[in-house]
Amino acid sequence: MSKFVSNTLNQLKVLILLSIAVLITHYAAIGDKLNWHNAVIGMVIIVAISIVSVKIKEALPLKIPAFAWASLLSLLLTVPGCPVAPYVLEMTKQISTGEIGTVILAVAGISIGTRIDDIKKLSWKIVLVAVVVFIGTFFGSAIVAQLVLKAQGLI
Amino acid sequence: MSENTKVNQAPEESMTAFSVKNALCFFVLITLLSVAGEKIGTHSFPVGPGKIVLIPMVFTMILSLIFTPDVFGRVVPAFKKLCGEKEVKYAENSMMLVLLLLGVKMGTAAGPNLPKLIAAGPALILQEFGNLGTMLIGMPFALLLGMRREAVGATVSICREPTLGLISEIYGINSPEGLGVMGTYMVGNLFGAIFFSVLGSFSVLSGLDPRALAMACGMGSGSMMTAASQSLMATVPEMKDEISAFAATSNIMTNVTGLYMDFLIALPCANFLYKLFVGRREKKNG
Repeated sequence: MSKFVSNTLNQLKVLILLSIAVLITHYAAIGDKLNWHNAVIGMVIIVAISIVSVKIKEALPLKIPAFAWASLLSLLLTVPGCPVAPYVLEMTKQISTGEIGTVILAVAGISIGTRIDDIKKLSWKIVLVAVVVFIGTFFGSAIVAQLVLKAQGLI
Repeated sequence: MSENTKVNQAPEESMTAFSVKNALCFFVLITLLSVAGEKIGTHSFPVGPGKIVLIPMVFTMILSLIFTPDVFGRVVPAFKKLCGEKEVKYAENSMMLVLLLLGVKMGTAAGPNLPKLIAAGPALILQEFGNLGTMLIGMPFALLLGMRREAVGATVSICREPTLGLISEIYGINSPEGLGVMGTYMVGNLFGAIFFSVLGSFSVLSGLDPRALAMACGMGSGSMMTAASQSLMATVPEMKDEISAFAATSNIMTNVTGLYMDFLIALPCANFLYKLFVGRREKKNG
């Protein structure tokens, strides 16, 4: 088996495992309101777009992460006028960003699992500076956006 | 935590090093943690004039920090069999992939809103420069705390993987600048998502429009964007779709421009600010 194929299969395997985790989490959140039929099709569509975006990232020499390709592809597929847009929207509507987010943070939490000791190595100074940096980027962007939206008369 | 922004590596390549047992343990663990978070549910409580909304993913993140080899595994050594080094490594490698599911879903929120996004185009582009807010308030603060060249690395951006790569290429990872960038990077990994989920709900108090705040959520880190935008959505549920659309689009822009912004604008600005502040102080003292 070529490296390309085995790589892709591995990525698909992980994506499918994660999708099942998302579906179960979704069921835990909303119970019997979940439309399994549409949710599974929606998840298959999401996984398909995800794997295509990984391949685009790997094929292009640009330093643009697969995440950006994933959003861009699904944006194009759901633009008004795109023939598949109503179908894609109807199916993916069953999956909510909230539950995907929950699974993401579960993975994120576990992935730093062996680095808890690093907390002790961090000085209180860098923790404070980082917090100020986070606040700076968030409100920096928000204030610029607010001013421009206001200048345009959109808000 | 390997983020979506890890552009130079292909971490998923090493996936072959894991057994079926690793994959299943990892899968069972994230499912249990996620379900537990959803069962705890969304809780909001008033703080001062506003409210803090804690969404399920925050509880999941806290639980998953506890159920790790380093914490729970030390108390109950048997737990390391379910979640040990290998499973942690598996999680690290899956991070990029799990974020893609969210990327796709957020794109589907953006597509139908395309006319609105185009109308807000100027704001979406210009708010990228708002990311320089990191150093505008971070640099003076770091210098006051006694940092020197570390401050340049620590405040040049929110220090995700691309910045880490850039700074270590220019200054070396063991340089003062490298130590600074590493510090902010680590704090972001450990507390970023939790911090931003609180900030996301509390930020509404600033009086800024939720659409402007949504654009601010897209800052180039998948997990922080998720946390900030989800708790903003939970706080202003009537604008859910718009928030999701603006956050997703802003995140695409930061992803695309991030590294180039860092190299061409942020780093020169940080060095300029450093000279400005430190130069002035040295003149005063000497």
